Amino acid sequence: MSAKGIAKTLFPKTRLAVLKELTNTADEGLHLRELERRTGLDSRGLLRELHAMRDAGILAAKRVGRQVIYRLNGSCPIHDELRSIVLKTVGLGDVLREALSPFAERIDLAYVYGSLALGEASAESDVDVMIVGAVTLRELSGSLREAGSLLRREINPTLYQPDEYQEALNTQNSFVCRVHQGPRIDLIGGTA
Amino acid sequence: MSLDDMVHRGELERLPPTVGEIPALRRTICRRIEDAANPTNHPETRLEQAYTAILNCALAALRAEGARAVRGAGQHVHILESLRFTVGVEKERLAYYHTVRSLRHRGLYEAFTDVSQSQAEEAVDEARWLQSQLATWLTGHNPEQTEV
Repeated sequence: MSAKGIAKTLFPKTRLAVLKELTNTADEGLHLRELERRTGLDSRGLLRELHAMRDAGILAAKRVGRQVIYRLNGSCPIHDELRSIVLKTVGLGDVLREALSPFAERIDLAYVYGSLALGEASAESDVDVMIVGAVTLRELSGSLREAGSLLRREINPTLYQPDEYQEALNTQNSFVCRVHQGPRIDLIGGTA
Repeated sequence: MSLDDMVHRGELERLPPTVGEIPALRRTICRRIEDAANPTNHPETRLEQAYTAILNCALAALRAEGARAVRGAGQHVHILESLRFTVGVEKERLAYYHTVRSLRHRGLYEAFTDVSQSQAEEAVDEARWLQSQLATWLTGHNPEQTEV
């Protein structure tokens, strides 16, 4: 089953859409009208989900002027796990997997590293993507820029040819070594 | 869209090139590419030099058209975007130039970055390609500016 399929089995449609958008916006959060615009879903259904998740402590709600801003509640006991599931399945993981899919046969490994994989990202954080394969950055740039627009984040790709990556992996304490062994969201290869 | 539209949007302004300006820019491009192609330089430096060569190519074409980017935020973006209306670079390639711009920007302002040798070599190839496109375009468009 695809990563997206797993998320769809776990969560009802509206709840999943809300979690996806609020995960992508991190601490910034969103108000109801913006969620309605981004998801294309009915405001009544959205409000029902927002209230249910707020009451369960999954979301935090704060009134700013006439609007209520919802965001993932960092104090929720399963905040990190929930955020990780959403990121790996329908959040940025899904958007990036889709962007790389036309080149998937030539990509051995692709993953997100850095602040997003570490769970330390802010709303402005870039998406650091490592790509290992027989592709060029020029081929990938159009798709990655579109993915960046969807995610409203700058995407910073690092591209290695497979033999070059292997060589860097064998070099102790290299940048590649550190990010390869550190927290990551696998997109292609790895555990994806 | 055209260069005039970019002028109307306040992204570019009209200013004729000075004597010798375009040949001087083209000599700079040659030096940048030479440094970018030097395998003894660090890949980050090579990518940065290749990016500057690409930006200088775009600037040379823009200046040959009697325009320049308005100083301030987005200046590099506007110079690169003008390539659509000067040399005639297609969208896919422009997306690549913008990716290299972001990588270079990241390298300047944040320490957490990495550039592979193959990434640097691709940037050098792209800079050389644009340099040759510029030469051809100048020959057909502004023959008096073809001297390097």
